[in-house]
Amino acid sequence: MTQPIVKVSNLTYYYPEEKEPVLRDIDLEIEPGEFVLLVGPSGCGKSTLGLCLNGIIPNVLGGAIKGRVLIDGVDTRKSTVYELGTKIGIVFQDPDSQLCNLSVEDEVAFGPANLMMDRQEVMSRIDKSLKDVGESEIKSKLIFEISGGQKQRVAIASILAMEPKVVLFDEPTANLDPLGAVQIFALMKALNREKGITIIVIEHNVDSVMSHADRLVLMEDGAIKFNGPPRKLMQERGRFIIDTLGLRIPQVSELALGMKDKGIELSPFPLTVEEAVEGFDRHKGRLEFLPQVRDSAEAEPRKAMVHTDRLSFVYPDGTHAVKDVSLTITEGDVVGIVGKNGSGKTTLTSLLVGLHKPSSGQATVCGLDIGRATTREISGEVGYVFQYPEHQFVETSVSKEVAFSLKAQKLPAKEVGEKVDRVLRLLGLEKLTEKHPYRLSMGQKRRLSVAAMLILSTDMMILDEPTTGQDRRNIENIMEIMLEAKGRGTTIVLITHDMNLVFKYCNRIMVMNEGELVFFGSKAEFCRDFSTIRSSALVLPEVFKLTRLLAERGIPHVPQAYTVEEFMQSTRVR
Amino acid sequence: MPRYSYMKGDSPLHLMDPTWKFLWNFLVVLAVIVNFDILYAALWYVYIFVLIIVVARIPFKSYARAVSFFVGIALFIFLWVVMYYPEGSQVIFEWGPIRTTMEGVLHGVSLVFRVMVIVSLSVLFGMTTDPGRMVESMIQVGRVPYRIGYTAYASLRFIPIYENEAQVITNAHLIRGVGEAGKSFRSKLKLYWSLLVPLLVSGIRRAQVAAIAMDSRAFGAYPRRTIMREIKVSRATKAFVLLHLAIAAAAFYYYIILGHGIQFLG
Repeated sequence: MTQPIVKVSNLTYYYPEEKEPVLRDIDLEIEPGEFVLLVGPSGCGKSTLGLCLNGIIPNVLGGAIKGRVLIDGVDTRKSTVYELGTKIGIVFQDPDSQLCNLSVEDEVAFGPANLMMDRQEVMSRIDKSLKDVGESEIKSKLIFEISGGQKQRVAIASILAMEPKVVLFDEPTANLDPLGAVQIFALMKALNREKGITIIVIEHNVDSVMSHADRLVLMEDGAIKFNGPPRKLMQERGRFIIDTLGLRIPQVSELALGMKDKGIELSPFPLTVEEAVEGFDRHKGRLEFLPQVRDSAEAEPRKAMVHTDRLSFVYPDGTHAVKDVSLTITEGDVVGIVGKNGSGKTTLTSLLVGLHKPSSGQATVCGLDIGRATTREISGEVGYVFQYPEHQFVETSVSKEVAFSLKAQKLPAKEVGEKVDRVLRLLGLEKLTEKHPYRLSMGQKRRLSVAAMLILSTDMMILDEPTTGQDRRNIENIMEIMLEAKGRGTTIVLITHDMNLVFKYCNRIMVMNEGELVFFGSKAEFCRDFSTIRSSALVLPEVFKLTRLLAERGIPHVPQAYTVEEFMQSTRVR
Repeated sequence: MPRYSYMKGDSPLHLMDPTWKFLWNFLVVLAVIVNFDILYAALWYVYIFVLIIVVARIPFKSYARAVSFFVGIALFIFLWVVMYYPEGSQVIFEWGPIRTTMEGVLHGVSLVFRVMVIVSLSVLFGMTTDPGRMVESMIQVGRVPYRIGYTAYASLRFIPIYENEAQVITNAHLIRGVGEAGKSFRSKLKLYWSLLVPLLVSGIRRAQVAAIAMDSRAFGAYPRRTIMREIKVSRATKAFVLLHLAIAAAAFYYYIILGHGIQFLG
C-alpha cells in the first residue's frame, strides 16, 4: 500500500479577519499518479484548497487553520513554501500575472535558480521542461512575443523545472481559445500518463477533461460534497450536479441522463463522444428521430442594425487589427464572434461603438455613421458589457451604479428609481442595493454589469467574453436575460471562446482570424464548412460531433442538433 | 509610448555594462557642475551630443523628441535667471523688478548647457540600455540583492499590461458616459480619476497572484540565486569609465579645491 501523495485531514480554514470559514472539515487523499478533477460553484473554496496544498496557506497568507495537510509525507505547516515547491507546483488562470521574467528561458530557470542549483543543472532542466510541454523552439523568445497558449505552456514548464510530484492547475484554460484549451488538457494527460505526475485540475470547462480524470471531487460551500470516479458520479449524481450545484457536465453525459429518462440506459455511461456513439449504436433499433422543424422567420427581410463596408483599423504601432471587414447584422440576430486571442474580435466591436475611428472603410450602427458619431451618441443606441465587470464600475453602490447609466437621459428621479428597481429585481440584485459593487461575488458583479447596460433598453447589446471564469449557473442566468432582451427585439453580439454557448444561443456565427472576417453564416453553414474555415482556434460542439458520427454509422434520419436540448427534442424511443 | 524607450543597437555605448554606464553618467555630471564657464559647459554638451548621434547612432529626430520637453524647461530657467539677476555690474536692462546683467545672461546660458548635458545623458542611457540587462547588471555587478532587482523586473513586465488595462477601463468608462476623450480638461480629469480605483484593484490582485506564483517557485529561498549568464565587464568599458573618473577628479580639484572655477554666484 503506497502512502498517499496528498493527505488532507479535518482541514478548516479562515482567511485573516473573516468569521466564516472558507474550508470546512476537508478530508481528501490522493494517490501518486492520480488525475483528479476538482469542481464546484464559484466561491466554493476550491482555489483556497489549492493554496493550502502548497503551503502558501498558511505560511504566506496567514489566517486560522485547523487540521493537517501532508504532501508526500511532509506537513505543510512544518515545512517552507520553497521546499514544498519541489513537491507540488501550481499553474494559475491568468498567464500574464504568473510569469515574472522577461524571457522564456529565464522564466523556466526561475525556480531551479532560486534553489541555487548549479548552472549546468538549471540549463538541462530548461531544455527538458520546454521539451515536455512541446515549446523547445521558443526558448530564446521574450514573454511578450508569445501567444496566450504558449504563455500557459511556459508557466507549466516553469513548474515542471522544479520537478514536482504533483501539479495543480487552477482554471488553466479560462483565458484560452477553445483549441488552446484542448491542447492544455492533452498536455496534462501526457504529463500524467507518461511522466507519472499527479495532476489536480480545478476547472469549469469540463467537456474535454472529464474523461481524463480518475477521480472527481465536488465542492460546495467549503466542503467536499462528492468524491469518486467521474463516470459513477455523472451517472448517479449528474442531475444534482447540474440542477442543484449549477455546474457543467460533459454534454454527452447530460444527453445520457436525458436518454435514461426516456428509457434508454447507455452503457458504459458516456463521458466522451466516442463512448456515446458506441452506446447509441447498441440501441439504434429503438431510436426514432423526428423530422426537424425549421423556423421560417428567415423569410421576411429585416432591418440592418450594423452594416460595414471594407472596414479597417490599424493601431498607431502598425498592427493591422481589422482588415477589410464587410458584413451586415440584421435586427434580432444573436451573433457569436469567435477566433483566437488577438484575432481582432474586440477591436472590431470597439470600432462599432466608436471607441476607435476606422482607418479606412465605413460602417453604420443603428443608423449612425461610426466615423462621425461620438461614443456617447452610439452608446445611447448600443449597450456594451465588458469582459471584466470591475472595469466598467464607476459608482459606490449597486443602485447608484445602475442609475448612473440613466444620467445622460435626465429623467425625473422617481422614474429613475422605478427603472432601477425593476432591473435589479430582474437580475436578482434587489437585496444588495446599498452594497459596494466591488464587494459583490463574481456572479453578482457580472449581473450588475449587465444590469447597468440593460436599463438603457438599447436596440443592440455587445457582450465581450461575459462568461470567462463563471460557473454554469451564472452563465445561464446572463444568457436567459439576454434572450429576454432579444424577445423585445434587441440585437445581440457576443464575443466568446465558449463554442457550446455559441451553439446554444446564437443564430449567426462570425469567425475572425488575423483581423479578417473569415466566416460569417449560420450554425449549419459553420459545421458544413468547418474544415475549410481559416482559423486554428475552433472546435465543434460535442453533440454535433455525436450526430455526425451516428449518421456515419448509417443510422437514418439523425437530426442536425447542436445542443443537448435540440437532440432530446428530436429523439424518441420506441 | 515612453520617450526614453530602449532602441536596439550594437554600438559601444549599447554594449557597455549598464552599471558601469550609470557610474560614467554620474562622473560626467560631477565634472560638468564644478565650473560655471560657458565654454566649459558647451564643450561637454558637444561631447555628449557627438556620442549620442555619431557613436550610439541615435537618429537626431528621436533625440530631439526625447529632449524637447526639457529644452522648454531649460529655456524657462534661462529666462528666469536672465530676467532677475541681483549680482553683476554690467547692467544691460533695468525696469522695475527686472534687472538683466551680462553676468546673468552668461550664467543663464551656462545653466542651459548644464541642464542639456544632464538630460542628454539620461536620454543616452535610456535609449542604449536594455532594461532586462540593466536589472541583471544591477544584481551581478552592482550587488543589489536579487529580491530588489526582481521587483524592477516585475515592474518592467507589468507596465505594458497596466497601460493596456488602463486603456480598456477608459473605454469602458467612456461607453458609460464618464468624460469624453478630447473634450474639456474637466471631463478628462474626471475620466482619469475614475480609472484610479479599478486600476488599483486589478493591480493589487495581479500583484498578489504574481507574488504567490513567485513564492511557489522558491523565490527568496536563499540570499543569492544561480547566476545564469555571467556578466563580464570589458576592459574598454573599464578604461573609458576610469578615464572619466580621472577627468572628474581633476576638474573637481582644479575648479573647487584650487578655486579656479568661474563663480557667478558671489
